[in-house]
Amino acid sequence: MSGTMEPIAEADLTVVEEISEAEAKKFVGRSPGQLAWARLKRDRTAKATFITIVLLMVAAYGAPLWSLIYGSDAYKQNPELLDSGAKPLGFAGMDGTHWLGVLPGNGEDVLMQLLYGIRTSVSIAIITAIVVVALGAIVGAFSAFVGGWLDAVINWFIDVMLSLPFLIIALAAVPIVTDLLLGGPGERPLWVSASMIMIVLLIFSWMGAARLVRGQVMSLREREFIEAARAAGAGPAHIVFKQILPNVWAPILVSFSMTVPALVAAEAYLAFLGVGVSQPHPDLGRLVAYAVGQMRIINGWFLLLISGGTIFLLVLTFNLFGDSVRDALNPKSNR
Amino acid sequence: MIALALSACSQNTGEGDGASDDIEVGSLDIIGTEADSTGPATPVPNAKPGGTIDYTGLSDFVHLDPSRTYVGSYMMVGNGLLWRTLNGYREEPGGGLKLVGDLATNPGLDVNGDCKVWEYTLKTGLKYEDGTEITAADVAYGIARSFTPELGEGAQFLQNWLQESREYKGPYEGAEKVPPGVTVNGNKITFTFDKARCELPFAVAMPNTAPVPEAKDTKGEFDKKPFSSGPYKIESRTIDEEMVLVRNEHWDEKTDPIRHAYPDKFEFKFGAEPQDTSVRLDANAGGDENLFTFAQVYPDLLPQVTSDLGKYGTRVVQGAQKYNGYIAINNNRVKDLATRQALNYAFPRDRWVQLQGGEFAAKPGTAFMTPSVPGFKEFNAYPADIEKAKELLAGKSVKLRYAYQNASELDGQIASMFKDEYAKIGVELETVPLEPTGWYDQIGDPTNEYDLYWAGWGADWPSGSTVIPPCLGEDGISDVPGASTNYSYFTEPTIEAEIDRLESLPVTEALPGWGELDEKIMKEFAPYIPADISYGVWMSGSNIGGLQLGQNLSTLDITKLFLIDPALNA
Repeated sequence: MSGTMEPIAEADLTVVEEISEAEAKKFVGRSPGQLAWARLKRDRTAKATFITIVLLMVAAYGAPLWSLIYGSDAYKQNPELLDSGAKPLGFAGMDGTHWLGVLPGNGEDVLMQLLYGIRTSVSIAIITAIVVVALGAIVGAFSAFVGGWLDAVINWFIDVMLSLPFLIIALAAVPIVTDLLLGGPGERPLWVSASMIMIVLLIFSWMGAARLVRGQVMSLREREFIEAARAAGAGPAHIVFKQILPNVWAPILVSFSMTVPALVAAEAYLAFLGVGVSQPHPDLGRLVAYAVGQMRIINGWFLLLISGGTIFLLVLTFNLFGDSVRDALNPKSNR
Repeated sequence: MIALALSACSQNTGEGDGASDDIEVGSLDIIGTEADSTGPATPVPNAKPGGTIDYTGLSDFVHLDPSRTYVGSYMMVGNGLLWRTLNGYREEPGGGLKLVGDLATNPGLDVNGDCKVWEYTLKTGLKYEDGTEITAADVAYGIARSFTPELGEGAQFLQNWLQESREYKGPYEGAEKVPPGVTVNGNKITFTFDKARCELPFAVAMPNTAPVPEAKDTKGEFDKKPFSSGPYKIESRTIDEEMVLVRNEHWDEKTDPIRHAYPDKFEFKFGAEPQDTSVRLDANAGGDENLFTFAQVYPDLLPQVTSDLGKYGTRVVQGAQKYNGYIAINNNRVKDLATRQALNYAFPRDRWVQLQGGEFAAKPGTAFMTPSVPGFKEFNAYPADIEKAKELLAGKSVKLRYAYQNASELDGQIASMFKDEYAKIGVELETVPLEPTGWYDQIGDPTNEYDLYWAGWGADWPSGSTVIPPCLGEDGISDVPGASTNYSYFTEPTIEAEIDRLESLPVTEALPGWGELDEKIMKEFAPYIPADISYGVWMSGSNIGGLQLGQNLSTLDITKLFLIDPALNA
């Protein structure tokens, strides 16, 4: 055992018992991080979901490269592949150059729509999740550490934010704020749509992380090592950043891994309702909405299946991977 | 579900029965004679009386007070079943339309030949639902009601012509019962104007010349239960739920050149989603054979229906409507003629029609007026030609702003399509999505900051005078935001002079002039981009006969409907 006073060390004993005999013989001291990593590596769900995520990310972020090889990008219109009513010819327009067919309307390639859609979706989710968790952690830690009336006010504010109806406000605010952001009539570039969505998601997502971190910090600040640091004359900044935050990185990481899939779903949700990424930029939620409007023809069913399926796959893999990360970091949690 | 699965597996070969190519062109011989105005109407082939026709639709007919009715389907139910007007449109089974006297013995007598005094004589034997006689005074009272601001949702052409100042506010609170400019003498009613009003015969075919007896006027309540002068009367009505119409026994077909009254009863039910209605009509299940609706076949279902038209036989009708669709060029901002012409040459009309849903939803249009308007002239001033468009632009870099109502994915697709296609001639298009609500308020503001946007228009009556002046003349430009109807904000002194000249001509002489003017405006000024003529497909249950597209109102002609087997579902 290392001589650390970190709370997670208490859990190590149980893990040590699980470690194989061979390893037990050449006993070496390991940090909680290393232990968590060891647990994660032994988790088959973690492995499978991690590989899926990596594949999805390579597919999505390599999209510009793939589109060169594949011969079509997400924006190229192919009206010649559609009938006189703008519905794809053949079976959803599938052929050797368009593996998943083309979209009704302008005939854009569906596979490329998916890849570029995943890229947009995941980028928005990850960037937002980082900001959400960072903001949540700072607010939570600050609130807990300072305590008193300020803590009460912040808590009250969190309650207010949690009680706001997300959808209604998002639907009302997005068009207005977009107009403000652009300052007059104009085209909406991708970054405007994307930052709009990120801001909306951020406003409604930071509270969870803040509460979690606040609880953790509350319990930590009464611990002996903090008292020791205080007694040694450490200032509040040193205590927060050097003593407390390093001990809450585990819940923060768990919070992050759970926020990402929630945000992927929320982003698709907003796009489905028409306040997400706008034309001509591909988006998974908008693909679903488009498919739902065409359920009387094969293209609708097929498009719904693959666009909805992609969102499902993204959310599921991120969620399962998040679960595994949580279990690895905190083996005492229910399994 | 099985039918769905089967159709779902089939390959889309892009082939199918094409939409009918011959669009019915409005005849110049539109004003009927005294003989045309005499009842009864030409019988619908094979029609039988009896039975109950069912209707299903999304919403109730919001206004059934003749002075407040201005929406196509409300007018169809009102004019067709519940009330008669001074003049009306006699539509022959199988096509052909004439303006005839409905309550009047003829479409109007121009007393001095200068279009300033018009005289109408009422027929004899005209009766309300309670058997009392319809008088000229009741017609005058009906018109007087339509001056009341609270009851003024209907067309206001006649009212504005009778009194430009609009000081007269209706017959209530002790005011005059006869509106200004109108005199009643026995069974004669006379309209006197200070200017030539050659199109009065059309204006008095609007619903608000329906007779209303003063004793039966319930003011605001009249909207819920109008007192019938037509072939049917309201038996019961629950607003937004259902309405049952039964025969008006006192209506005499011998006095009516327009209407039939085949079924004994009409049962209207409201609250059905258009998509569900289309699916239900398509299925034609037991009990639904007597069903019809004014809604067109829902876009989702359209490919399936139009690819197998033979299967539906006479229970599907299709045809061009009187509405156009065009891309307005904001002439306040795009002042360069060559640019406007280049935009016309490069307009991707084929892709526009494709995105509208194909030829069953829209026919390519190259004029402002639509074929059903008498005097329509077919021309294509700027046939698709990318090279010519480039030449006209001469390498200038043009950046324009296209605004669209962002109601569905399709709207964004159309914007992307324009962006792509106009890039080919070096025009950079900035596409701006706008809230779909209040679209016409946004583009109807002369200070709007957009260069290109969609708009549509349909003639109020079969004459270019209700198309060209409001949409391409000064009449259509208003400083009141949202009140403009000339969405291109185009005015030219030479064109205004021609409009004034045509408006003072007798109708039959003026009609072809509007078509010529339409072409002249396009050739010389290119103030807009013509895009399409609305086209529609309607379906009914299999027991409904006499299905026909009413040319004047561009929806199913309700008076011609009958039950093939009146005993079915009785």
